[in-house]
Amino acid sequence: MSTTPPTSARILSRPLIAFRLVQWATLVSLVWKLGGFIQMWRCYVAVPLHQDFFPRIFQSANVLGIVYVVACVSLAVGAMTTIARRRRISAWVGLITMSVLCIHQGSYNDATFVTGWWAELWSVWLAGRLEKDAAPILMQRAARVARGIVSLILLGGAAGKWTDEYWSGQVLYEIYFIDRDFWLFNLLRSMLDAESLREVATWYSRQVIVVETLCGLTLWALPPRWSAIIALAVLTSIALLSNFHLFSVLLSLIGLAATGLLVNASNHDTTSLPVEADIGH
Amino acid sequence: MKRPIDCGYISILAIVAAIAVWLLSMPVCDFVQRSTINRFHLQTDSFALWAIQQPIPSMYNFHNRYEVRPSLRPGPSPDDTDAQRGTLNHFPLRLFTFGDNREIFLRKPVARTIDLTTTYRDTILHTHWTATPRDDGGFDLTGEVVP
Repeated sequence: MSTTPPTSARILSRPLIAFRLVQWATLVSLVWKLGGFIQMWRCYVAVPLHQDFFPRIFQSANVLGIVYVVACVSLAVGAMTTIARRRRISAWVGLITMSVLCIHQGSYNDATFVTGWWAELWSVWLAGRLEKDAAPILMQRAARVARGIVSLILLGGAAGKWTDEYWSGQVLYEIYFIDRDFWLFNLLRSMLDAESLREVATWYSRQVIVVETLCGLTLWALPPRWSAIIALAVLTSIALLSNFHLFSVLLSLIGLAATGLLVNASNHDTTSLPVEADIGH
Repeated sequence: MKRPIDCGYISILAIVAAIAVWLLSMPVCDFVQRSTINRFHLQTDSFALWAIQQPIPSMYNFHNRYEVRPSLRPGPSPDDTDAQRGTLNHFPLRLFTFGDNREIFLRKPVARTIDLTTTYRDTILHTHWTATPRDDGGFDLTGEVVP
């Protein structure tokens, strides 16, 4: 009896692993605040806001709910499908739904959808190349684009903080230190007097500015693995030290950053994993 | 190994580079500052122009302050003890439009006003918004720039 695998069977290449990793990370980022989103949607249905600035379709709570569900489904399909055409379509649907969520009245301010938009832009490009390019080159390019995106997001955070108010710590003091219910700020308030708390806010804010600026300016230029390790540490620490809800914003970036770990140091993709049939159409 | 030309790859890197230049110019370019602050206050000239800026990352940008009052009187009112004041991380009108805040501030069918002030270096934008109750349980939300 022959043991030769069927001709349609393919190995799971590193770029495909990277693609799936980012779909899973972005999907988890969307459902991270699921309870909050359901509550939010109910509120939008109960209290509609009529505003000339937004087209009517982008004020509709029903549109928001449907697009959110479609985004989650498309990410799940993209993460699991073995059919290339289905993967490309799911990535496009992901990008379109993220675009809507970025400009809808009820979600435009949530950075979850901005980082998700960038993750899906990357996914659309990668899904279109998986059957065309050699895995080592594609993996290098995928990681390079991912580094560029992560750098850009952090630079965006930094640029808006290059002010006296942030350098003095005043803005983050008002947002976090006065009354935010979070383990770090609760702990600091319980340990410090008002003057010391304000002083800590200054150094906390300066640390944020310096880290975001340095990462924004340099991550894209570092070797893939170093960039990935630093980005993963920084992105995780942002949520752990300021707000657990921020994981919804950061998880898609964490997925993108982690793709740097999949770049083979020797530039040869010799460790592709024989996992499953992957059918390209 | 031969590297094939990939227009998608080049295009994404070009977009990232262009936005990075936009962000790096923010401290010195009044146009970039004004565009982003207008975007935060939904004061961009058109919805389309506002929408294409949305992928530009702007988390925790600027100093965004608000003052909410259960009245239609515009402008600061230090004697108004019912006013609620605070600081927000970005897009300050989210206080009325986003999530639970909408329910907190607009639960009762009572007109409310919100004054928003955003500063970035020497650039300041102050807008005044009014939420007026409607018969369907919702509100009309209108805003104007305060000179």
